[in-house]
Amino acid sequence: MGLGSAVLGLFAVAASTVRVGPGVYRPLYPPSSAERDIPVKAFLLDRLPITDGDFLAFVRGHPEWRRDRVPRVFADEGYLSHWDAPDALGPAVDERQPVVRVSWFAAKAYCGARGARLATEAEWELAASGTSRAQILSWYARPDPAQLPRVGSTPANRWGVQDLHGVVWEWVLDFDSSMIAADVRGFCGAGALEAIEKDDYPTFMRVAFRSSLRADYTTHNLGFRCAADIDERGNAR
Amino acid sequence: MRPLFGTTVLVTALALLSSCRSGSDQGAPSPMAGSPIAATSSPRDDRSIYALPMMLTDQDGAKVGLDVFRGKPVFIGMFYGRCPSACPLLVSTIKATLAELAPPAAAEVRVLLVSFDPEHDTPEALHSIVQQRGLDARWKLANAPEDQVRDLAEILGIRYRRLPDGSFSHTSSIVLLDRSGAIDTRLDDVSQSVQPLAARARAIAAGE
Repeated sequence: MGLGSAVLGLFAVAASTVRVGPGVYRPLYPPSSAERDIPVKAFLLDRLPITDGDFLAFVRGHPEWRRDRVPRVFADEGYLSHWDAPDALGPAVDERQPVVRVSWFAAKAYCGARGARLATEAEWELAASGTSRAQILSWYARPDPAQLPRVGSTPANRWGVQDLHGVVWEWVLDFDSSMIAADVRGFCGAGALEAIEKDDYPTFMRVAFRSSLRADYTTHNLGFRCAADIDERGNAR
Repeated sequence: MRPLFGTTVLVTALALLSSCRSGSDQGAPSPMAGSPIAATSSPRDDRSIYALPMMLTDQDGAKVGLDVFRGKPVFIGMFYGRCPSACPLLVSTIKATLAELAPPAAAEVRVLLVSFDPEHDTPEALHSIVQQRGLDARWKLANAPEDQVRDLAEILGIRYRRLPDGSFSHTSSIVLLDRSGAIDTRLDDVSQSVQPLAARARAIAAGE
């Protein structure tokens, strides 16, 4: 199986990606004393989450990622189970809805096929830092709607990115690496007792949620978007 | 609170809290630890981790796939050569497990250790570890491109992070693969008994 081996096209399409950063990500729980301020280089990020329509096109071009063909080690039983068929959305799914029920492996393969990658946690959190805490909490408190909203339903934040909060949760490349019982230091000693902002509940929710995932998991409100490195002139590399 | 995440967030939060109470020198238990991972192959044989396309380079500079030991019971783990304590312990624990085996299992089982650190764990560096630790022909130490290292870690349920000083935070697990490459048994705490791993390796070697 070619995990991201085929290239569909160049990642940078001016209207669909946004330049984010450079900036500094300050983890709520610094994993070590050397990681209180994590510099983040400027990068390109999809303005919107990947949609069901986007992902359907990918699956048609990469049939090894159809739900009836994907090796179970790469995606659990729920993978794309909301679609009518392995290669069709059906009437209940709007192609402009954010795709959900995708595993980390599948999300990574999608981005790889575009010549892109998943954003790191530091990059994602930097991009998300342009949204107010009250706005985020009001989303976390809302029950899931029967139908997910179409992408682009929330306002752009100060980076010009939309839907980082308010539509679906999103995979990041290193989703499970920020809480590790380390070689020589434990999570507790290094981090938990020294949380930078103890009332930053939204960030705690995200870190705890990500940390509870496994790469083959799929859920009804976990999607993704892609990122890419950027060079000094602002072009995708 | 969103219904799905209510439970997972709470469980994680409780795990963190309980580990904090037990002392700061003890790391939080991995949420992975003890979680059931299917031990049997499905009809489509899709529990095999050999579905992962990887290009490994071993201690002799040979390019091999992840399935280099397909057909054998394999102890697989991840490490890095400059690791001060956990990785030497990982090697010692696998040695102790091998020492529990008698022929024919002892002759059939293989060990594959893949580095988190392709930058430093060149074939030469890996070769010197093989010599220093007296590892026999059943062992293969290998590196892989960084992107593939993360795929392998995820599929094995091993967590790691590169630190700014170039060292790695990581969990240490020994994972036993059956002949097809499906995960059979795992040891997530290398201070625990190796007997279950050894028993399963014997059973796989005996064709059970």
